[in-house]
Amino acid sequence: MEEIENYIPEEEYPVKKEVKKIDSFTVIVVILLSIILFILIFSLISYFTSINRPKEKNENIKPTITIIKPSPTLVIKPSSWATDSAILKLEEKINSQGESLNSIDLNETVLTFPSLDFNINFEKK
Amino acid sequence: MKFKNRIFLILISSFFLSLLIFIFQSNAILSADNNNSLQKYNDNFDEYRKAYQEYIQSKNTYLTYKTLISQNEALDKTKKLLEIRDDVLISYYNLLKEKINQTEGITPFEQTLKGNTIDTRIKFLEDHKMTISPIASLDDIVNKSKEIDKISQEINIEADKTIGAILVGKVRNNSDFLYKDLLEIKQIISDIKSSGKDVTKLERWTLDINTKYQLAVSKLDEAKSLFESLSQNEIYKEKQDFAKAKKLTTEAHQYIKEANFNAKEIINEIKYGPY
Repeated sequence: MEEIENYIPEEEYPVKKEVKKIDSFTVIVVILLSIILFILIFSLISYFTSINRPKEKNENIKPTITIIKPSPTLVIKPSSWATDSAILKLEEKINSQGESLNSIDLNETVLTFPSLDFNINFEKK
Repeated sequence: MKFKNRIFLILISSFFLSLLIFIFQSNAILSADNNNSLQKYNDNFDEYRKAYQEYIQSKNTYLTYKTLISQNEALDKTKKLLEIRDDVLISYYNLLKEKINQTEGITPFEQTLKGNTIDTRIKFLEDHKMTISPIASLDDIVNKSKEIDKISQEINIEADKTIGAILVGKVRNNSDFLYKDLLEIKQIISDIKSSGKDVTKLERWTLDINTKYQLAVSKLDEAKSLFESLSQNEIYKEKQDFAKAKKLTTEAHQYIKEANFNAKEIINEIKYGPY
């Protein structure tokens, strides 16, 4: 008797909602997308803040670089010293010093004392 | 390739691309910051130009109408000008200090000495700037300006001396390198000589380099003492001496360049000559 009273027809069973499982691919895609978005936004912000800074107006006049062309040498046969490590090292050093010597700015126009008016007065000329 | 894999590949590539953009951007910002002192000096100088125009305008208005309003306006504009003028000098000194510290040929002792002189000047200018704001009359502001006017020649010469030290330091650094190269070349020639080869030509060339090095050093010494002896007593002579010392530095630089090129020729001769 009791069983008959508790009987519920099949159509009226409480329907269990189907929970869709998110697969790992979607999780990775979402994480990557958010990282890219973050980096791009950060880059954009830093770019715009940097271009809004007043630009340097000073024109740094550089001296004319004199390029000394090496005199033509007739190479017949390298000597036994041509591959010596000390020679090669020294040659490299001399070459880099040559470049540094050519790039020296001996005018330093930017360091010229600023032209300021120190004679402040309220007299008629 | 599956659709999922394609999407994944695209996402990974975009990730690295955005990372690259970020790195490039950061480097650009960093290099802009390195020129901070120069930028600040230029900005202050721009502001000074504007303030100077405003001062001239307010001064003319005051001298024409002599009203209290124009007097007050002139006082305000002059105060602003004096403050910015101090700022220009402070940022100029900071720029000089940065250059002094960056120049490799200047000894640490000289760097400290110049740095201390600059710091004293900066402190003086900062204190001077602080006393401008409370001034309430045109006479007082004119006197305040005279405080800087009195030392303007002195600070100009101080700046010239510092520029001189920077120029000499730059060339001296290269002459020191040349000296070390010369020693190495002599050692190599001596090694070749001990192997029984005739090195007369190489020795003669080395002598030439040595002569150029000595000339460069003497020119540099002369330039250095001339820069250091700059005095405010005769301003015309000071400018002449400054130009002369600068010329000597350029000549020394030229000698070192030639000697360095000759050193290159010696190396070529050793490599491809009969040794």
